[in-house]
Amino acid sequence: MLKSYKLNYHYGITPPKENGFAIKDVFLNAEPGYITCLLGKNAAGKTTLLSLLYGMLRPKSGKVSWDGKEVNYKNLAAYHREVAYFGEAWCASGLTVNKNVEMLSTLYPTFDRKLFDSLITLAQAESTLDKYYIELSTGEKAKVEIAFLLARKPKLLIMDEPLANIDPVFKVDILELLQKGVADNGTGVLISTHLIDEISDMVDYIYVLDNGEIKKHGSRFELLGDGDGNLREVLNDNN
Amino acid sequence: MSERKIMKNFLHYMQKEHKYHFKWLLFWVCGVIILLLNGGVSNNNAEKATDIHFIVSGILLAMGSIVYFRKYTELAPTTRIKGADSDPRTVEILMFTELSGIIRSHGFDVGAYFGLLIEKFMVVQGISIAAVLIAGAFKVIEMSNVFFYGGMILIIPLVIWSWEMDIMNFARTHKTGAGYAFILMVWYFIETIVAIIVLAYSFISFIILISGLVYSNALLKGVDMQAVVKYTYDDWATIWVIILAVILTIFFADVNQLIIRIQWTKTKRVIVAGIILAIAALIIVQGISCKKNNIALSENSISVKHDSSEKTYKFDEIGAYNIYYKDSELKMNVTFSDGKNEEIFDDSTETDGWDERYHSDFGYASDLVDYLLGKGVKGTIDMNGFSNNTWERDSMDKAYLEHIVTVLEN
Repeated sequence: MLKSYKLNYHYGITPPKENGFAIKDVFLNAEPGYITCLLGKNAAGKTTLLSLLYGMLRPKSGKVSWDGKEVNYKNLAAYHREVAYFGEAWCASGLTVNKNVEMLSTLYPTFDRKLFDSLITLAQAESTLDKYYIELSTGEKAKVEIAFLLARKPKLLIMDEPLANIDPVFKVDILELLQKGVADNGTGVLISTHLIDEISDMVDYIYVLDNGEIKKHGSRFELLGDGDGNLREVLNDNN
Repeated sequence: MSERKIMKNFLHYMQKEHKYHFKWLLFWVCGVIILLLNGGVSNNNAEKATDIHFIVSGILLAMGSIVYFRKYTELAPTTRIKGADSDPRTVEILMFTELSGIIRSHGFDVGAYFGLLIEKFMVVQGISIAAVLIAGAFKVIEMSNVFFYGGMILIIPLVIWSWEMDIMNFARTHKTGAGYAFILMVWYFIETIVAIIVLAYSFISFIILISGLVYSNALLKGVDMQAVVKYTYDDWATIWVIILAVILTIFFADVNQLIIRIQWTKTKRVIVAGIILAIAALIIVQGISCKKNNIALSENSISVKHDSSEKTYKFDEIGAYNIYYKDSELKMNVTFSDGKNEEIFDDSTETDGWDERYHSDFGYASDLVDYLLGKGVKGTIDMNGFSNNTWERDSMDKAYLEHIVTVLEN
């Protein structure tokens, strides 16, 4: 399980005055096998929080732990083998998709090429394999990246706005890939978004982030009731 | 599976993909060769020519280390992608994709990876140190230089690697910011300047070396360290080499980048190839026709060589001389009995035997003045050039100068 304890972060060297923290006193949990949503408006601090959780930023105070062990620079590589991240540059733009997969799969002993190929087929992205990564459209890149990340069989997949700038046709494929990954391999997903309606049916647990603080959290049923609730209302309820 | 084993798998992949990448070996071998050749003459740091070789060999070793690690940290292909011509953004991304740009989101252990690379490189270092030891054993280089050169071979790559690893660690764990961008900026700036000077110099020096041309006789022959000899030589070949090397490096420093950026059509390929061949021919012709001027001073004679003519004068054949001080160096203009005139201390380098016997140019001049006085030849000294800083030279030089002044002014 991924846990954060009273995470605090600010940009710059000196601590800001009271309202200047990008992330303030955040407690957050994400488990394998569940889809956890980090909900928030633009500039709420979602990307910063996910970067802290993944280890790309060092918290000013507080800590992140994975399976009970604190995440630090000594165990970062091992941590990143079990926890994947969607949203950062992950491959060489100048190589083909196949070449990238061949190269990067050497870093993951659990990488399953057959699973990757089946996910690509599911996403109808077979034509991308021999193309150079830079030649792919945004939607194709997202599909390839998610297929690669799921084929690594991580225990947790952190995703920063995976559906942003994706057209509706691709969105369906991407969501299908995610659900298959969770169902087949027990991969957990921590997904940030401000497009709440598209994933409301999938999520198990929700954290609402506003101005760097967790304002509300709970299971989907706690926050939305028996399915008639509206996540937009949950978000606006913070104000 | 251990981190080391996982990174080893990755390393094997990179090795397979870059198996024809040998540029680093060219730099390294040139660096070691120049290091060994440089050790064949005195390592007195007061001599300009020795400094140039010494510094260049150090820079070559550094470049070899840098390029070696680039081999295992660069991901961009070396050929253009068809269909990507029209998009300059595509080209830029192709050429600058490096491992440090993508490892943030992967389970990549920087320490383990660099550890493996260092272990592999130690084979090369070991062979180089063995070459230095053998050269020392056969007196191609002075034994005192063996430890120093061995130290250079060990330490220079370590300094370079630590810097590279710091950059990769920074990329691995921090977002880009002003500090990181500045580090990259300084690094690329230094790398570009060093690449221009070093690659060109090593390439041209190698060509001239292969052509059988040398800057001084001591570079090719084993030097008897006990001989009391001081060599001077024409510096023009070095200047020509550096000038032409800079021009060549504009084409060779980063051929891939050049190919992509100038949109390498067939016509342009022919033109550029022609220019490169012409410059190469010019260098070789220049080297062959380079005037090889050389003066060798010994305990009782002065040998003068101009192009293919060589003549050895005994001290008895010196008709007149003038001693003066210019550009912080002692100068001695000697006129021989056949009317030929030479600056015998210009651009020189000396053996250990010379240092032991004369200490410096002042010592040699003092002994020569005494000898010529005994033969009835009295020269002149121009005191105008001897400024205060002469008085700050060591006490032996000061004593020699006072003796010369005493002899010539009485």
